[in-house]
Amino acid sequence: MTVSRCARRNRAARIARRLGFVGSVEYRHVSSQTGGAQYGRGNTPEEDLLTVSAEAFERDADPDDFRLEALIAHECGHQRLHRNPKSRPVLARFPGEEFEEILASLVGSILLGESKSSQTLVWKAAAELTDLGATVAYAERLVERLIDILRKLL
Amino acid sequence: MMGKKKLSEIKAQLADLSAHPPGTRPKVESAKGDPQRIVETLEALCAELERVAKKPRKPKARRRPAKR
Repeated sequence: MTVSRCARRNRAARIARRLGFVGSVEYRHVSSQTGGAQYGRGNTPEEDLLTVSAEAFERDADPDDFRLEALIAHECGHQRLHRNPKSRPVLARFPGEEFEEILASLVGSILLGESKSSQTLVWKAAAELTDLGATVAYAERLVERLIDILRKLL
Repeated sequence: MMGKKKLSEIKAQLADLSAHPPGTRPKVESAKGDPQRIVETLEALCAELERVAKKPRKPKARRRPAKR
């Protein structure tokens, strides 16, 4: 692995650990179709895998796009949702990628605390709710409510 | 997965939808299914998450020493 690839992997791993990710972090020097990062569930949390691709670093460098920490926090959100004994059965009862994506962004925003990156994940969740057909006003109310619930849950 | 939509597109989408009063909003191209049904499902999801969040955690079962 070259120095820059190694540096990218280490940077991604540092962010993931800070946000509480358990498992392995890999860097792939390829353009992906994932948006830059992907969570893979293993048999145990220690076997979970976070894959970060070159695309994540390209997006991070773009002032009009998500920061690397937001991309990683979203994936950490997936892990929290799947590994929490209370939220896991709820995900199973409400199948559909879109619901999990919304919740993962909101968990990611909680993990990031008060920051610009945190806010960007809240916007992402709100936009995805409007994609489903919700009004902006309803999406904003729902996002606040979900953040409150998820704080208690996780 | 984070998806490919850029942050600037998301901001523009929210600003555009906020700028149009209800009833005059352009149809969201990607809107999936019946909005009323989606709202009902989202409310049910919230209620379910609220219910499990309130539920106390089960204490871990203690192993009893085997009786002889």
